[in-house]
Amino acid sequence: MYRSLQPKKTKNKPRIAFFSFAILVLISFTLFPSLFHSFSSAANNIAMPFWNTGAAGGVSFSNTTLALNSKESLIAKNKELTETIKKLEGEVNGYDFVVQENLELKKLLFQKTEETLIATVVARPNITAYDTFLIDIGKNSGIKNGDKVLSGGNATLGVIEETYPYSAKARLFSTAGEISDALLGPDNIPVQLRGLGGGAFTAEVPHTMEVKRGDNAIVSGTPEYIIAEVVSVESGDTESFQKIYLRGPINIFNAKYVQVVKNAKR
Amino acid sequence: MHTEDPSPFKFYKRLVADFALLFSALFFPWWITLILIIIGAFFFENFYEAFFLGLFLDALYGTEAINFYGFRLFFATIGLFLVFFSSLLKKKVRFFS
Repeated sequence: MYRSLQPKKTKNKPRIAFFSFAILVLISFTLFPSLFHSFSSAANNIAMPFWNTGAAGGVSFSNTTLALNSKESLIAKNKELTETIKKLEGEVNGYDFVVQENLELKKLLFQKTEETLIATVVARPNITAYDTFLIDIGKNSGIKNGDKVLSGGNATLGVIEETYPYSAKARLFSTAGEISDALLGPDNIPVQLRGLGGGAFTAEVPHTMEVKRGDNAIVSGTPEYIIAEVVSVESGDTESFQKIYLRGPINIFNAKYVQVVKNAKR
Repeated sequence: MHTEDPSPFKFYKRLVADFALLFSALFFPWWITLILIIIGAFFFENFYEAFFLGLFLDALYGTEAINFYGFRLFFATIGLFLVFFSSLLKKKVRFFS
């Protein structure tokens, strides 16, 4: 067994210094949010190249068995994947066009002057501890705190919470405890959606209102944006309210691209 | 088991663990990183990295409006407690002495 021969006081000095420093950092970052924002910005700048490399290289931890494959099968797989990439590139171009067209039509329909940018999601829930998205565009692309984050042109996911020069953090409406006003179903029942985390919501509506599975909840004031879809309704005969469970319009755990509406009217 | 490794690889072991944790923070779900930090805190002596990594996680993923009345240094605080309590616990547990 190896025992340190250092006197206890000298041995504890680095520990005391560390704890003093750590507590000082915690207090400074809590009291001065701008200081933490600068630190956060620096951390994002460091992480972004790794995320971009990971996204470009398709970092996946299910591919470890590839190393054991034969050369021939790898070549065949490579060819097959190249073909798939070509096909998907064509589809993505088409998708961008459809999204752009969709937004143009909405612009005409609702007479809005909003510019939309397409962003890659570099970190999403499950990697992020909270319901937040990290996207690869930031201040330099002109986005600001409060800008809307959409998917597929009409699914609203959240708002931009923090911006850095080349990245931004978006807070999703499904964040645990987050309350969002919405209109539910064809009768436009006004409800308050409470985020449960992981893309799920809950709401309560009076027993007399008819709500069924598949009804959409739309954002109050912006009828073109869907915020969630009803997945189940719980109602007891003796209760005056029915509890509704909803999920976001897309699977946030594998979202790859989102649209950010610049200067969104809020 | 004793936590003070006298071998010349001690430093490298720790360095590899640190890089693995950083990689995990960027690409793996947060709870895997948290489990790795807890393992690191008990495997290495004075695992100060737990606090710094927690701070890094909070800086990357936390936002002001979320949870704990605006307090956003959740992982850093967990890291700090881990550094403190892991050393106390290691003194009490025969496995680490």
